Amino acid sequence: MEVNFRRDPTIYDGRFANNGWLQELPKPVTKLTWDNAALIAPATAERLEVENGDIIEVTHEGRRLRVPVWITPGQAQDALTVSLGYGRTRAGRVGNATGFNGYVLRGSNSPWFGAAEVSVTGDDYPLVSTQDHWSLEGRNIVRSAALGEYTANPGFAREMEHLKLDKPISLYPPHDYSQGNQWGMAIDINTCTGCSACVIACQAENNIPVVGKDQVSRNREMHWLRVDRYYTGPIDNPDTFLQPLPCMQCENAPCEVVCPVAATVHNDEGLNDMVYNRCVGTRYCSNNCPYKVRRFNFLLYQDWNTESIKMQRNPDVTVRSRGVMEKCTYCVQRINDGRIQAKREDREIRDGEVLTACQSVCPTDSIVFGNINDANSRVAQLKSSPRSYAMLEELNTRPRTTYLAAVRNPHPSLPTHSSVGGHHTEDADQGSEPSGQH
Amino acid sequence: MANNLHRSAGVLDVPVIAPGHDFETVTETVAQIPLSKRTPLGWIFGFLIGLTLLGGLTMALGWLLLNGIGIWGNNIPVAWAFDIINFVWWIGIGHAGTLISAILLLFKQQWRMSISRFAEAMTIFAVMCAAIFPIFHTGRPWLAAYWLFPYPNTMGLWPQFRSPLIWDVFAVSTYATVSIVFWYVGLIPDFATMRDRAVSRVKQTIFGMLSLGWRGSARHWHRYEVASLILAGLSTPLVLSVHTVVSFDFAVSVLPGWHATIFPPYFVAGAIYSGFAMVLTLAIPVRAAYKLQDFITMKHIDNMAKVMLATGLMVGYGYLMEAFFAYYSGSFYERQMMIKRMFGPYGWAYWLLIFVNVGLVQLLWFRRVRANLPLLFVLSLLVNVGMWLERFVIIVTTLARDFVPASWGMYYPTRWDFITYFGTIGLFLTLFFLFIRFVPMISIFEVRTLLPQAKVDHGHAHGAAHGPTGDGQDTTPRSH
Repeated sequence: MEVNFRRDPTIYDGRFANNGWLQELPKPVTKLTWDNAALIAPATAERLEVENGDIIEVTHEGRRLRVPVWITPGQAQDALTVSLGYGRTRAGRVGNATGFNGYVLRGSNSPWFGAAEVSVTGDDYPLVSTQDHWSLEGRNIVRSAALGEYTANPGFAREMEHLKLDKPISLYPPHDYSQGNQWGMAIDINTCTGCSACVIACQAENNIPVVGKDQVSRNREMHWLRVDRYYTGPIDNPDTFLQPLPCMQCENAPCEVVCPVAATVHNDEGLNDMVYNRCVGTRYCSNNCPYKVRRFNFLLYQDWNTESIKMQRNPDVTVRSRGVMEKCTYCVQRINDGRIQAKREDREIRDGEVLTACQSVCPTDSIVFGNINDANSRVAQLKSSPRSYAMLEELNTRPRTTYLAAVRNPHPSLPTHSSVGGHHTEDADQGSEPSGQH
Repeated sequence: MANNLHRSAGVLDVPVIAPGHDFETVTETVAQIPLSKRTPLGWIFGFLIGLTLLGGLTMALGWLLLNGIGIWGNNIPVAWAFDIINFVWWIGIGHAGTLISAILLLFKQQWRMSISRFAEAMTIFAVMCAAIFPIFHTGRPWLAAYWLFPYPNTMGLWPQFRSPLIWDVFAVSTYATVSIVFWYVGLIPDFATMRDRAVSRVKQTIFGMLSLGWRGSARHWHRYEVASLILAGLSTPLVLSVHTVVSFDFAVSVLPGWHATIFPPYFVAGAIYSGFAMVLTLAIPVRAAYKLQDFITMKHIDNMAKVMLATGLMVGYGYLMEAFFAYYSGSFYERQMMIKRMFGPYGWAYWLLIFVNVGLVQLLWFRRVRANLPLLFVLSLLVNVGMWLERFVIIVTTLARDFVPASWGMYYPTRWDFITYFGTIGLFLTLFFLFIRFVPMISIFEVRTLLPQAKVDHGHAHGAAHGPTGDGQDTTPRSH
């Protein structure tokens, strides 16, 4: 066996171990939070007869470390990856007693990798991830094609729609957006690297609380924006797809009709607004959200008392208390800021003037937000791209957040995987076993 | 007595009241239970169990108010779990009482008379248990308790009438109101009987106030008959509408496994199914403990078992159609949902409920099973469990496996989920034990109309039987 040492994707070399945002940020590929683990290939895990969270003892140059394993599709066989920076004892209130200290194994002879022996201890440890399923289950929520397929048929993504809706279906008259702005977002799956900067930006912008490992293990993380990760193809060498998922701001929002107290309502610029003061917390909106982007304050997650945290918060965003639902607002406070600015200068809001927090930090410019009433806006142009598709369009939710399908260009000598996104019932059960530890 | 008779003559020939009774013995047998000074040991024992569980409920709700519903296992995606399962379960149980007291009254089913009173009581207590959940399961119950009602307010805000939860508020509050009024109106003549038979001043006063000055005049009886017919007419649509509206919570949503047109009839059948199971669960021990076999005869038991069988078959048809339409719809998500429901992580719950609700209930085809009280009691308990599992399967499997695999998640109940659930059973038991101790649990005046004496000279018998002091048919000494 080989052991590899890597800087941790969220807390780096450990210097950020006491940062709650980074601790709770799901690691881009594994989706683990609050801990590191020894990443292990599915085949190797099968050979060792270990499951997620089973503790192994790794011996490297006479040094030993007990660390739980995390089965990671695409990991090289017989190679463990341990990220550094965890296992600190004096990191502080947040970082103490999280994860396992890879530095214990690492020596100056071979700082990045080396031979290791592994023994199974029989103990286990609760590792917590925010995503328990890695398969698309044959669904068309992520769509992709190889370059050849794309050039032959640029509109492939739209053709993967299960049920094409030619015109909007509704009993109610449509909203009138002929005046002013109508917001929308386009997210390019092709360019998203899964770095998750958008998640942290959203958390900072929108006063999103850190809930801790126990609450994450109960599926109660509060991130308004998440990055879903799917594997397709053979499990030892899969294709990986990443899909940032904010609120879809549906035009026919399923959440709005089921709220008994009208706490989530449509506004005249197409946004699906949350009225925190009015919310009584029936959670029906979350149940009826096909995208499951709503987050609920099951307990009092906000810290109301610590003075320094008061200073840290964004004063333009309501701090939510226990018992209310919340979700992505398209950074409505930034929109309002832009509107005020434009009004003072007696003009329209310019395209690109209002950036959502996630958009503003995206290093690959995968997230584009703007006014879709303006045909020249970047978002409107992206939405008219042949790669553009709406997730779960067949439900007639008419989401304002749409995606640009991925186009992959694998080297011809590499084994290629077929396009992703059609309904493939036959492999629907692949990878459906929960891989999370709860 | 009734049991012997049944063995010799067969269940179908058993009358709805055992022979050898007259007005006085009926009144005496039923009225002495609440009037007696002696509290049976079994009652104390059962009441304490109920009270203990109720204590757990109080504690659980207190802890909930202090901490939030995060003390339960609910999460995203499974934002509804035990809370709504229990709500639907309790509301369903209540339906048998309304069916017995309203629909069977309109159909002039005489066998309803001796079980209607406590079936109605069961309805009211079940609705009270049910009502706890929609209020306390919300994030902010202190607001939800009144914001869901359309009350005039300075903000000019109404509830959102498109939400099925608002329909629930109207359906359930109407149901509770009509049930309580119907139950109380039916109790008035019997409260008067209790007032007249009570010897202690306290009981006379309390029953006197409760009987609202009932003197049993022909005019009183006339008004009573009219009122009870009107209330039966009001209740009848409620038997169908309440659970239909409850099923809309699911059917109106977009989720696979919820979005189904079969839900309203299937939920109503399931409600009556579980309701009759609960009536049997209560009737079998109570009639034995209080020696009421003469009034709740094997005929009643047999009829209730048959209703269970019939509604059980309807529910089975519902399960079949659910699966069929998941396939026939052609919807990818519906099909996937059904596969996950049957063979996914909660598959055990699905097959267990099929085994109980569709499989075991077939035993009721056999007369010998319907006449076997211990077996019937166990079956009725199992059906209650099965119907709880049905709601678990509908609610949890759909939420745990909907559209986006990345957000799929399992649901694990916490200890507080269980304490709250069993706490409501405690509330139910406590109320039910109080009811059988202090209120005539069988409608005295209605059962008296079943007697042959009541049919000889109808007008005269009424007057004699219901007069303010009119028990004096014979000289049976009173038990106190």
